[in-house]
Amino acid sequence: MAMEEEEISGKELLRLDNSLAEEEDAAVASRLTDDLIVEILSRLPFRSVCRFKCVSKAWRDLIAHPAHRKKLPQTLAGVLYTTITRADGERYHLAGLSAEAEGLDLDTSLTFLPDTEYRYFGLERAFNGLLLCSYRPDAETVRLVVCNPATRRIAGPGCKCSKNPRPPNTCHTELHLAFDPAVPSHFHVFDFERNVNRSGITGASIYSSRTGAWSLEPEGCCWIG
Amino acid sequence: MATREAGKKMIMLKSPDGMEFEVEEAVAMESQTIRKMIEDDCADTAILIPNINSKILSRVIEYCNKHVPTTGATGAAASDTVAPAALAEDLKIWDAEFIKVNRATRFNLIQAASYLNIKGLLDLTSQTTIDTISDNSLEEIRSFLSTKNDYLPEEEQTIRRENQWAFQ
Repeated sequence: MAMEEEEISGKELLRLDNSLAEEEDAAVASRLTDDLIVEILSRLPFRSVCRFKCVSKAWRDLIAHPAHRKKLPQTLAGVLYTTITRADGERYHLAGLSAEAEGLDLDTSLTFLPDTEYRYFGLERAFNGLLLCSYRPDAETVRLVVCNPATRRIAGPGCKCSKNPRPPNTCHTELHLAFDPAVPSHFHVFDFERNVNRSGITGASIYSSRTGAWSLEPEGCCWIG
Repeated sequence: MATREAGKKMIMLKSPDGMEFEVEEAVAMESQTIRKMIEDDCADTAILIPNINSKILSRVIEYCNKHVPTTGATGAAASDTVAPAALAEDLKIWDAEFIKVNRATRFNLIQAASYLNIKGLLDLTSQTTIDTISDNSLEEIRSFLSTKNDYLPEEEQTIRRENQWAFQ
C-alpha cells in the first residue's frame, strides 16, 4: 500500500514538474520585450516576416512600426530592367534578388500580369517593390494595374477597365504611385492631366485601393508643390 | 570559472541572488555594457549585474570565456598553431553545443545578451530561436513565444489572404 502511494506521488511529481517547466517557459517568453521580439524577428527572411504578421495584431504592428522597419526586411531587393527583342517586343525582368529570395518561385518576366499581349503595355512607375503598369487596348482606354512581382499580387485600378475619354484640350497624363512601404497593400494612384503645352495641371483623379474607386478632383483646384 | 593569472586584471561580477564571479577584465569586456562601465571608470572591481540570476550569468561568462580573443588563456582552442578557419569551426561547434538548452534558459540568455550587449551571444540565441520556429505553424509560433492571437476571425482571414504567397 505504502509503495503504491509512493509510485503515484512519483508520477504526480513528474507531471507537476513538466507543467512547471512549461509554465516557466511561458512566463519567461512573455517577459520578452518588444525590442527583443523585434531583435528575434529581424533574423527572418522577408517571406517569413509576411507569415509572422499573421501571428497577432501586436506583432503585425511591431513589424510595421516606423522604428522597426529598418531592422526588418520589408520587401525583396532587385533590379528591374527591360529587354527589347524582335520576337517578344518589350519585356521587363527582375534581377539581382537577394539570397532571401531563395526558394521563391519568382516570375521574373512578369508573365503573371494579365493582358501583356497588348502592344502598348508599359511600366509607368516602379517604387519600393511595387510596379504600376498600364495597357492601352485601344486609343481611348487606359487600363492600370499595380502588382508586386515577388508576391504576384495584382491589385488596383486594372479591374476598372476604362477611364473617361480625355477632354480635347488635354493630351498628356502623368501617373504616380504612392504607398507606405510597411503597408503596400494600401496604395493610391494619381493620374494628373496636363494641358497640351504641359504648362499646367488641368485635373487629377486619384484611385484609392481602400475604396477601390477613382475620385475626380474638381478642375481649378489648387496644387501645391 | 576563470583562474587568476599573474598580470591579468580581474573583475568581480555579482548576480542579484548573491553569487560572485571573478573573471578576467578582457572576458568581462566582451560585454559592451561592462566595457563602457570600465572605460568610463564607472566600475569598481565589483559590478552588480541586475536582472540576471547566477545560473544565467555563469552561462554568459562561459560564453565570453570561450569567445574572448586571447592567446593561451582559454586553453588549447586559442593556441597559435591552430589556423583561424579551424578556430572558427571549433567555435561554431562549441556554440551549437552551448545553445542546447531549454526554452526558458534560451529566452533568459537573449535578455542577458541584450542587456549586457554581447552581439555574438544575441545573434546566436536569436538565430537559434528563429531556426526553431520559422517553419512552424502560426499556432506553434504563438505557443512558443507565448503570444496571443488577438485577431478577430475575419481580420485573421484578411491578413492571411494578403500574405497568402508567404504560406505557399
